[in-house]
Amino acid sequence: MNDMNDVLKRKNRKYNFGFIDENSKREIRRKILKAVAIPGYQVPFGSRELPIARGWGTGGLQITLSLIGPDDILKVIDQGCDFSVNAVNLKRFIQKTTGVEITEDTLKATIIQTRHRIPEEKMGENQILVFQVPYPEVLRTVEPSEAVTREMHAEMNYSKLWVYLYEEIVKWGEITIGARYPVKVNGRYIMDPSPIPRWDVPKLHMAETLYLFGAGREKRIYAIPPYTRVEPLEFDDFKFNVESFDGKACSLCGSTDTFLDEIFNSETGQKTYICSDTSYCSKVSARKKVSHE
Amino acid sequence: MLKDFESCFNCQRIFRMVLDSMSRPGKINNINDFSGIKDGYQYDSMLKILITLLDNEVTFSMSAQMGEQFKKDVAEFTGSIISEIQSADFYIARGNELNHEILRLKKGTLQFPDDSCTVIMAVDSIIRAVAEHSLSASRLRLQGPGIKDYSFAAVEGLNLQNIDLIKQRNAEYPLGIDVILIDDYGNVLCLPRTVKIEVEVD
Repeated sequence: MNDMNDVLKRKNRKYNFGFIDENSKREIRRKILKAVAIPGYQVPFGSRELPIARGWGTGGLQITLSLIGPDDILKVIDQGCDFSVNAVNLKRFIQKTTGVEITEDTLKATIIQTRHRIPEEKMGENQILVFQVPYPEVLRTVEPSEAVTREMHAEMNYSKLWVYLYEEIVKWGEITIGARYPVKVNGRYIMDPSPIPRWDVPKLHMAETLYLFGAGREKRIYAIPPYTRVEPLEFDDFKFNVESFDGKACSLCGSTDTFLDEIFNSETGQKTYICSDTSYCSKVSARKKVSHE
Repeated sequence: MLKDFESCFNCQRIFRMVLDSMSRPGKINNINDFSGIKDGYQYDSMLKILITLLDNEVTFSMSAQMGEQFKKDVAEFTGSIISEIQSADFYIARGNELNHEILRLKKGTLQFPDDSCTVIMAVDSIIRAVAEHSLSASRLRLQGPGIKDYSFAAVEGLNLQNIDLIKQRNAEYPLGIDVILIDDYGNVLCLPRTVKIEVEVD
């Protein structure tokens, strides 16, 4: 754990702790509190310029930088992976500007910033999961105008979205939305849960962990507090379902109960599967290795 | 006056505690560990929260009972602007006084429910209460997002009619106000607009 004094000693730094200035953090913090108080509602905020392009996780990054302190332990994942370009660069940036400890262990982290996955291991009460959100407006698919979608949320007028889902069933025999599956939060707002797979949607419901969502380009923050009802949209006669991996297992750790990525070998034409959550996969592999020895 | 209060790190840790309490209504966090503003300062804990949340981009209003000097201190140390009560982003009051002004606080619009007031209220003490033991005349039974089943908190120095006024102001969800209670010992309890409050009196 980092000693705060060590951080304070870094007098030569030419930027504030966590890069963004205290006034900006204060605004983001106020917006986070309002987002928590109105679950699922998108709170507008003044998204700041950062040394990273908008659309590459700046919303999540600004939330993380406003939350983080010297005692925090940070994990950053991209599609479940600790080592992909987006995750590594964000991690390096946060580490450089705060000096916090970095981990790959889901259960050790106090803050996890994520792009498009919720970790397989169940997170606890003392953790916060920060989502990077590319498109926060769940109604954008059916309505291009921001003014109109805001009115629709105000009036709880979600009929266009319901019709869209119905038409999907009529056209394709199923709802084809793979990621960004719409959910209703606390019985009031329909929300975009960021492009997490359907597999992760049930983890939002009555979770122990605080979920914060940041969209830097679109300048929105929203939240799901712990123990909040989160229901994927479904019809009485057409229920929500998650991806099926029946008969498939991770080729590295052998897990059959995780979200799997398909790896296609173009030379052999062979398909193999590995866990999307690399940290979990490594843990299971290590456990198996120990038990074999 | 603020020489011992390290703004960057103390504000971060105080915010995390307020966020934790706002995310889990009924959960009490204590901010007394952080270096104080000034020895013997009456509203030391409250001022720490105000410095954490207020700046020149937001406005505040204060009940007369808090005193003119405290109003000046808040304006000076946060840079926040004093405003009319109906347009204030933050409203600062004591919990023991009956405060009809709560009904005039801005509660947002259906398009922008976040454009609403946050009340920061000083009370005498906040104690975690349990269902079977009533510790105080004003035990709050809370239910809603952030709470698994129910949570309980006993608050002393809170006029129960203020709770009725808060409930009235929050009757049309998502419109409403969010409340942060802070006691003399640095205990923080939050009542976001989503929480259902029942007062249990022995």
